[in-house]
Amino acid sequence: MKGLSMFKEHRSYMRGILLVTACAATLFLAHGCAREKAPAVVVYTALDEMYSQPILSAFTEQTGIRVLPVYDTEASKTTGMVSRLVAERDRPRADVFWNNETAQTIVLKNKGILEAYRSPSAESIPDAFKDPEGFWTGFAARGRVIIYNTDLVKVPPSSIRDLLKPEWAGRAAIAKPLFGTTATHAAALFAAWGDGEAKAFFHGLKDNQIAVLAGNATVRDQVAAGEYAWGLTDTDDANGAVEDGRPAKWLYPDQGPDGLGTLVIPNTVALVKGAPHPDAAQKLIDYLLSPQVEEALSKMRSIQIPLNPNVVASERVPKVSDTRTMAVTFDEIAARMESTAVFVKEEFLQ
Amino acid sequence: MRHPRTDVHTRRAASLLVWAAVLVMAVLPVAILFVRAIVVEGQVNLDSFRSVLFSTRQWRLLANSVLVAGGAACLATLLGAPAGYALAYARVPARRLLTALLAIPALLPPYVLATAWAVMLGANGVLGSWLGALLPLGQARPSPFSVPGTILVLAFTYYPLVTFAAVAALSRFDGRLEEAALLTGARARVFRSVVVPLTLPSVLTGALSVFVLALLNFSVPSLLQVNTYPVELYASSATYDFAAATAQSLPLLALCLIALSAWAVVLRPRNAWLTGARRERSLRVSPRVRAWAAAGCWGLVLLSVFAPLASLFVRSLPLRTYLSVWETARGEFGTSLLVGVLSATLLAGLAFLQSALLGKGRQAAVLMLVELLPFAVTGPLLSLGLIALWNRDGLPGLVYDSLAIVVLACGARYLFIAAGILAAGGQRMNPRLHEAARVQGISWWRAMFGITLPLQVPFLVACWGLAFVLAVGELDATVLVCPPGKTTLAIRLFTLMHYGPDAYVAALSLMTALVILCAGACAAWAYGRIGNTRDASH
Repeated sequence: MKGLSMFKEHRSYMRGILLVTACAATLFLAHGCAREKAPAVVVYTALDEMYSQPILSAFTEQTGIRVLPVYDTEASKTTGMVSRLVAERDRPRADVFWNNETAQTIVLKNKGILEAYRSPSAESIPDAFKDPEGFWTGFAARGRVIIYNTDLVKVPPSSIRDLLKPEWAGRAAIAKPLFGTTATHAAALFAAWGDGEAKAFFHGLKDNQIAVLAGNATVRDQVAAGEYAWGLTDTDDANGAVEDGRPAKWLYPDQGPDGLGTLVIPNTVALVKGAPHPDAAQKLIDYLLSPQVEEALSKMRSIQIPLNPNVVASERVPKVSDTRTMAVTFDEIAARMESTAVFVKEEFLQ
Repeated sequence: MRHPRTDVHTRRAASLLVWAAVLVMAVLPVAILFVRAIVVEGQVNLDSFRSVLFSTRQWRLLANSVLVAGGAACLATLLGAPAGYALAYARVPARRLLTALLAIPALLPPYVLATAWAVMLGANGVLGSWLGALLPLGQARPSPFSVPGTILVLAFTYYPLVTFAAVAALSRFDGRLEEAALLTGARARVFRSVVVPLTLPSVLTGALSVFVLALLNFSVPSLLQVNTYPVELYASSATYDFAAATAQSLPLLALCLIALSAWAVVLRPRNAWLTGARRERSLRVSPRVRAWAAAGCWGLVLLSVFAPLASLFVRSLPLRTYLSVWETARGEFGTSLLVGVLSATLLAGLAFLQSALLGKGRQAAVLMLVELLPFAVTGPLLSLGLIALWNRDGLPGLVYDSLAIVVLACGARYLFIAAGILAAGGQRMNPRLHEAARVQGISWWRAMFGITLPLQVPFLVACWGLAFVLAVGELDATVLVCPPGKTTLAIRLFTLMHYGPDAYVAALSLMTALVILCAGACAAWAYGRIGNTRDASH
């Protein structure tokens, strides 16, 4: 009898929990039913949400097609998303892969996860930034740059090899070379220099106590905050610090006549093989490769560099034609990605 | 009257259903990973396991992981155990308020606290600049981005587990033992030689829980750039070597099993000295000791709760940031609440059925061990298993394409904890109540819902509240399976945190903390209101 009276006493709590759960379940079902009504396209994008979201919203406004995005985290830039695409290969959920670099896209192509699609919007984009077989197309690029703190550095470094100089021991930083554009940059160095020289360079970084931070944005922040004198990051991150009026400037490394050049990395867009919504996916790819998107991306804080010569970018956006770039192809870089990742993991994840 | 055999059949069928639910939710996602790692192109191939497990790198990783987890457990014990004794033994003033405040760090997602500590220990942070000024010129300021920094953050996150283990032990401590001992010795000696030894197994249980949670934590070492097994597992999936990632989960599983065995063999039997019945202690400690104990508790609250939250608040200013967070992250708040409610109900329901159907027999022990699997293999690996299991055509595909997969991810990860809470509740049930019901001819089902359920309400509420808090903060297992177009608060926060702890991230962290603390406070209030049923259940 005591149990019964207690049951009555505590019924209200159980009712509360059940009521909240019933409401949640109803919301859940309603959400599930509503989802199917409008046409949709699923895009996995590694470009920062603050830049990609306005572009995707504009596409929805223009076409009426809802975009369901999956954004990547800065910590695992691209790699977590590519892992997901690989894991989902038997039943792809993504229609479009919008990457903020090239190497992982080529890895996906080589793993048979992408479908060839030559977009009519890509005709004006130079061939160097397109896959010869049409599996991916590049647009809106970023460059790898040196960012330095103007309060701490009077004569800025001019080469990535300056990271090995004793005067910068423990005073410079790079992002973890296992993810994002830093991983691509590391693979590009292996492709350009060969294994011996590249490994010696990375060993040198460790010996010179170069800090390895979470991401390029963290390098930007810590350099701007004066924790480190300089570091390697991307144009979009570096420009953010300059626009915010922080004591930071940036420059392209290795621009001398015999210099290595810098790495210019375009965004890439690709159709996923077996995409659930192929028609909408092609429309989204056409849209992303259109001049209006390159123009919009160049006007944002990220100052992404247009590759389509028909796009007129503002003065503050650096031109690819004025920059000395590394003499390696994106396929050569992609071929080095996995072996570089194994080396880097061994060296930098202790 | 219902035929007893029908009762047995019903109960057996229900038990099978519970087994099936646990297998689908917790075992299959892990099993599928191991099968795929072992069977390559139709052949058994253990190369990935050999290459991963017999490399020297593994020893370094093991050393790092054990150092971080062991360091966090030791520091958490040093912080948490004295606080527990201060609350329950010294009975400091305002102890209800202090108890609530000291619980806060354990309720907050560890990555929120990691961000706050990174702010505090940074060059411009309160503690960072203070430490910088104290240190001799030229000596490096301690960085949060290091092994000691990770140990510090994890210890300040999980110490409440030790505190509450000590409080729980003291609440079950028979005060008459102490009174008897006082006849032969001084008070300090009695505390040292009677109270501490009898409550130590509970305190060590709390320390062991901290060790396991710190060992399996991915977000804090990942944010603070320290390589432990969970971080390495994620990095292995970065090279698409899913078999290597699976192999690397074995040392973690082994460590968890060692911790569990140590608890079952060494600590659990020693808890038998605690009587399980609340007997108020008539003895009081001296006012001086109480004052010192209270000062210590408030100091801990200041350092572990107010300082991190205040540093986040300062970083989040101006106040209009909160408006901007609300406008842009409303969807994430809704999604997280939905996932939290559904996961908590799923976990509390399943854990209750498991406890009521399987009791404390061998089956229940096996099931608990099985439920440890998805908890111990770490979140990122579990999510790869969930993709392999659920991303298929038909009904599994419907689950995978919806938020149900996020609910399942949270469910799989925390079933072990939920089952543990309800098992503790089940152990307090008096079996004679069911025997009496059976004699009266009451069916087993009616007895379960009429006797067991009402008596278990406090544990159900505690389990539901804790599961809600854990599900809202869950990141590790959900980051790879959240359906397109949907984001939880945890994922959004983790994405933004890597841009640095700016005003938006700080405001979003505080608002997330507020949601979690409100839910925790509601559950604690409800538990407090109905927790007085304990005596009736004996």
